[in-house]
Amino acid sequence: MYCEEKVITTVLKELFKHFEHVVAVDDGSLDGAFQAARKTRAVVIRHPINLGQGAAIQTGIEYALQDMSAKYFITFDSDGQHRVEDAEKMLRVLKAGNIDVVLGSRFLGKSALPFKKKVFLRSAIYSRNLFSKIKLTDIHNGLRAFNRKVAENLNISMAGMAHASEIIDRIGQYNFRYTEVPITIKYTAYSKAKGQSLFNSVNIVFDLAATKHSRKRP
Amino acid sequence: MSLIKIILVLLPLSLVYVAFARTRTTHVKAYQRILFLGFIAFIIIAFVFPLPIRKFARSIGMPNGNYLVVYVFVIAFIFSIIAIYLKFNEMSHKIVKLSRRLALLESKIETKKTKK
Repeated sequence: MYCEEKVITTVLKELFKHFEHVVAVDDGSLDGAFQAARKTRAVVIRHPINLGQGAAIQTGIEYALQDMSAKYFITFDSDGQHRVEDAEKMLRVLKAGNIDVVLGSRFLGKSALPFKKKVFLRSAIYSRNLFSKIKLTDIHNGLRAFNRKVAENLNISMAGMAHASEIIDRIGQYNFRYTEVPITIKYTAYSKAKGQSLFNSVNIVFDLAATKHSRKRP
Repeated sequence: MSLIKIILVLLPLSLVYVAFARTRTTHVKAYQRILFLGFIAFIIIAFVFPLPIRKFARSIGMPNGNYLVVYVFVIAFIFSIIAIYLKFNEMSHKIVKLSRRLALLESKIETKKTKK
C-alpha cells in the first residue's frame, strides 16, 4: 500500500472477514496509512522509503514464507479495487489442485473498464502474447493466488510496475501450471485517481527490455 | 546507402548491445576503462596529428576529420549514458534489498515487543 489512508482500514477489515492471516506492506506512505493499518489485526511491514509495488509484493511474500505452515498466498491491491469474494474464488480453484498459479482477469469478468484503459490494456496483452508462450487475457492485474512452490521461486526483482510481466515470465520459466479466473474490478473515483498513468507503460517496457537483456548472460 | 555507412550505423548499435549484455561479467570495469583510454588517445591524436585522422575519415566516406571526431564523441556519450543507467539500476536493486531486510527485521522486533 502507498498512501491509502482513506481506504486501507475498510480493505483490511473486509479481508479479515474471509481470511485469517493478512500481511500489509506499507511502501513508505507519506500519509497515515501505516498507522491506520496497524490498528487492524494485520501484520504491517513498513518500507523505510518508497520502493514500488513489485518490491512491496516481494517483501510481503518473503515475510509470509517465514511461516512454514503457509501453503497459499494471495496478492491483493490496497486501493479497494479488488473484491474479496474474487480472492476466495481464486483460492478455491488453487486448493482444488493441479494448479500452481491462479490469475485474475478483468476481461473474463464484468469490470467496466474506462475506454482508454481498455484499448491500452488490450493492445499490451495482444503484443505480449505474441512474444510469450504464456497466453493470457489480462496481464497487469494485481489479484493473484499461488502456492508455496511459486512463492519460493518468484523472486521479483522489478521494483516498479514491471513486476507483473516478470511474474508471467517466472510462470513460463518454471513451467508452473496456471489458469485465469474472471474477476470484477471496482473502478471507483478513488481507484481511478490512484491508478497509474498510461504513459508509465513506456517506463515498464524500457525497464523490462533493459533488465532482460542485461541479465541474459551470467 | 554505402557499406561503410551501414557499418558506421551498426557499430554504435552493436556497442549498445554489448554494453548491456556484458553488465554481469567481471570485465565490465576493465572494458569501460579501455574504451575511455582509447577515446582520450583518439582525441589527442586527432589534435596533434590531424592529417592521418582526416585521411582515415575520407577513406570511410566522411568529408573531413571533424565528422569522425563527432562520431566517436557520440558513441562515447551513448556508452557513458548506458554505464550510468546500469550503475543506477544496480544501486536501486541494492537499495531495495537493503530496505526489505530492514523492514523485515523491524517487523520481527515489533512482533517480539507485542508478545512481551
